[in-house]
Amino acid sequence: MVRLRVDRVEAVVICVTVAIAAASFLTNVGRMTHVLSHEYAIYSKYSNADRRHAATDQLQIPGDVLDFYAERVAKGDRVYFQVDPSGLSANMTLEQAVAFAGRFYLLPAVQTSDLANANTVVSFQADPGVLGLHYSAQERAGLQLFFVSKIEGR
Amino acid sequence: MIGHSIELVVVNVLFWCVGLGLLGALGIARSVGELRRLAPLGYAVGLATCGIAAADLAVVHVAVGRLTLPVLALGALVLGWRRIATQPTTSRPASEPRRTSRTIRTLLVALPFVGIAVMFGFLLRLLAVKPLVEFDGWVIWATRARALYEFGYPASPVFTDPTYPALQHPLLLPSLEAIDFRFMGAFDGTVVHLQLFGFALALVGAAWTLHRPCGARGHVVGDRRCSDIPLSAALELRRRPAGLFRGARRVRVGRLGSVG
Repeated sequence: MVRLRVDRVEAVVICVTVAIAAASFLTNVGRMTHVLSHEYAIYSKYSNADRRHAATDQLQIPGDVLDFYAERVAKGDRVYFQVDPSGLSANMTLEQAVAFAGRFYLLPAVQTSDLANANTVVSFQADPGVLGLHYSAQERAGLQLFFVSKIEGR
Repeated sequence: MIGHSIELVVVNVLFWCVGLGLLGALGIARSVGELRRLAPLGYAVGLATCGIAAADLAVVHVAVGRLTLPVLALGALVLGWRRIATQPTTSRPASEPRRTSRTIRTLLVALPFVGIAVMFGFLLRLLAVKPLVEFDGWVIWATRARALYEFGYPASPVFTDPTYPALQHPLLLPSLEAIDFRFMGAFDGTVVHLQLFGFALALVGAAWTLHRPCGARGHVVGDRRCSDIPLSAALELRRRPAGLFRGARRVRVGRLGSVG
C-alpha cells in the first residue's frame, strides 16, 4: 500500500516536472530558433577571410593589416608591438587592442613586452625609426604606417 | 570546411573508442550488452580521458595527434575487449512488471529528447558556420589551443608570461582542441565550435546513460543501480545512483567530472 502511494507521488512529480519543462520549451522555442536562424543567416554568408577576421574586426583592427603582419613573422619570433598611446573605446586602449589581436593572430610568433628581448617590431600606425634600433629588414604596408621590422643581430 | 568537419568527426569517434575501451577495461561494462547500454557514456569518458591525457602529455612535450590518438583508442579497445572476454557471464536479475504504462513512459522520455534534438539541429547548423567571435573564446581559449597546436607543448611565454591572460586556466579544453587542429592540419576557429557541441552531446549522453531505466523495478545492471529517469535528481533520496559510482570507484569518476 505504501509502495503504491509512493509510486503515485513519484508519477505526479514526474508528470508535473515534464509538463513544466514542456511549457518552458514551447514558450522559448520560437525565440531561440529565431535567434539561431538569424545568426545562421548572417554567418553563412561569410567568406573564409571574413571568418578569419571576425574576431579582430570587433576590436576595429583591420584584418588585412593583420594578414600583412602574419605573412612576415615566423614561428618563435619574439614580437614587440609598437603602438602610439591612444584610446580606442571606453574600456580598452589601442595598445591593448593591438596586443589582444596580435597575440592571437600572429601565433606561432609570440609577444614580448620588453623591446630588449624582441627580435621583431610590429608597428601599428607608428614609425619604427623612433625606437632607435638598427633593422636587418623592414617591410611597409603601402604608404601606411604599418611596418614589420627585423631587429639586426637578434 | 567540409573536410575539416569530417576530420573532427574522426577525432571524436576515436575519443568515443577510448571511452568504450575504458568502460570495458575498468570493469564498468562487463559484457557486450552492458557496453552497448553504456555506449553514450563512453563518449564523455573518452573526452575526459583524452583531455586529461593530452594535457598531461603536453607538459612533457608529447603532442597527441594523428598517431598517438589512434594508438590510444586501439589500446583501450583491446584492453576493454580482453577484460570483457574474460568476465564470467552473469544472469541479470528478473524484471518486475512495471506499473506505469509503456506508452506513457516512452512519451515521458521521448518528448524532452525531441525538444533537445530540435534545438541541437538549429545549433549544429549555426556552429558549423559561426566564426570565433566570443571575446574570451579567442583571447583566452583559442589562443591557448592554437599555441598548443603550433608548439605541441605549453610554450613560453603564452603559458608563462602575465602578458598573456588566464595563465591559471586548465589545459583540458585547449588540449582537446589542439588534437582537433592536428587532425585538421590547420587552425580552424569555425569548425572547432563543433567540438564544443561535442561536449553538449557528451553531457546529454552521459546523463541519459546514468539515469535511464536499466532493467527491473530496482533498475539494476549487474550489481549496479541506476536511477529511473532524468528527473530522478528530484527523487535522489529514494533512488540514488550510488551503486554505479561505487562500482566505478576505480575509475575515479569524480576526477573526470572535476577537471576542466
